[in-house]
Amino acid sequence: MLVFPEAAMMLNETAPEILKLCDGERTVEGIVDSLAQRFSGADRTVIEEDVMSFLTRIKARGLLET
Amino acid sequence: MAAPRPYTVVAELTYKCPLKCLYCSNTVNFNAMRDELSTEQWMRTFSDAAALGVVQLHLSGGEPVVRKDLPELIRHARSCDLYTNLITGGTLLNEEKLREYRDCGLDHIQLSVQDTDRKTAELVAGVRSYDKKLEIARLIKTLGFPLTINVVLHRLNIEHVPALIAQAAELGAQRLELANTQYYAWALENRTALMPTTAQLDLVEPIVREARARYQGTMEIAYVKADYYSDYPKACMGGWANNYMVITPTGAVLPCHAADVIPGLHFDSVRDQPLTTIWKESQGLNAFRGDDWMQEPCRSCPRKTIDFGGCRCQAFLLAGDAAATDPVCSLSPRHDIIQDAIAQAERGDGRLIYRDARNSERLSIRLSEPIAR
Repeated sequence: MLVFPEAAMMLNETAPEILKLCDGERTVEGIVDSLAQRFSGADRTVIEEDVMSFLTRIKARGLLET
Repeated sequence: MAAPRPYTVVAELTYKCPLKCLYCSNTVNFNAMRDELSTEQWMRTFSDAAALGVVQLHLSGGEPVVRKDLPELIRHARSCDLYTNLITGGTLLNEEKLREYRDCGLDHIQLSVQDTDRKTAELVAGVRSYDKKLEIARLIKTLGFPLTINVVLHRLNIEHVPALIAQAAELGAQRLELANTQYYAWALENRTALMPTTAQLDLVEPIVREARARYQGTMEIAYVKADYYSDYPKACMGGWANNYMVITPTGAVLPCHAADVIPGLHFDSVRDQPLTTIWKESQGLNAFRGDDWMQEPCRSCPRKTIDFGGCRCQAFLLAGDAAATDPVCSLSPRHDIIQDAIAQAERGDGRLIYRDARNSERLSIRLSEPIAR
């Protein structure tokens, strides 16, 4: 669960893995690389889509600073 | 009905406050309730809240900064993995305190701002506070906290919404809450002076919509509607004692800020029982869980799962029966009460009652009586 003022967002199993990689240093590309390495069975394009769609959503809610 | 999982606790650490805001949500009776919970009692309560599944803790008041043990309380709440939000008026803050809170792990600060116009801001707060609040807002940002600015809207400031939005953006707030006054406690005492006119509300809503789109992704703008002007009541608290609770400075566990006005309900204190027991067994919390208590027109209404019949406190305060349909609802047989209040607001009234000890004592005499009928 991602908790922020006045609300919380229930996360699926992959979202926390993405969030842990948002360290202010890594690029989106870097996040995708790291996930692709860890989950070597998964298709890189699918990972990229998941990461982009999640980051876009939390960015729109003001939960991500870029 | 089995108790649901609570997510949010509002801990009102104290009723002490240097401000005297006309719309304060603290009980009108606050001056008689001085026996605050100890540090240990609050810490145990935070642990119990986390055990119940709570994830979010609002440290509120009064002015929570008054509590000398606030750093300790923040540290303990963080150790229970609670997301901690300090709800403050800001006037008692300084850099040293803010640094200490930050070191203890405070996650977020919500600062109240009364207006962009100094004169009105200080008229509403009842004390000089305008410059100090701006100074503190800047300091909060300098120290790296995420900041929500909260503005309670009413007829004296609602036309300043464009300036309030610009100011919040300039201060670097991540979030701006523009909340129309909810008429309970002190706000109900001051209702005629505070209620906006229909024309004012019609002007502000498109401005908010436009600003929301413009600031999307940089500053979230939350807008709480003026419920008297809605056709249907608000889904108050997402349902009575459903996922939210307020704990008063003396330890009473309420489903919202206002429920202690309803006669016949008993709200247990964490002084006497652990929060884990109270949440499940309290007579007051169980009184309006589910929908068995509903009367017509709510009982057979398809909207009952959307708005739960509105607000129980408002039903009591305005219609004299906590189990009645919220009079805000256009289907309520007592909707005339709301229409009268709106008509009265169009005419206006200058009477202002400040939230202070003297007024608290005076008004407490007739507490527990429906006052707005």
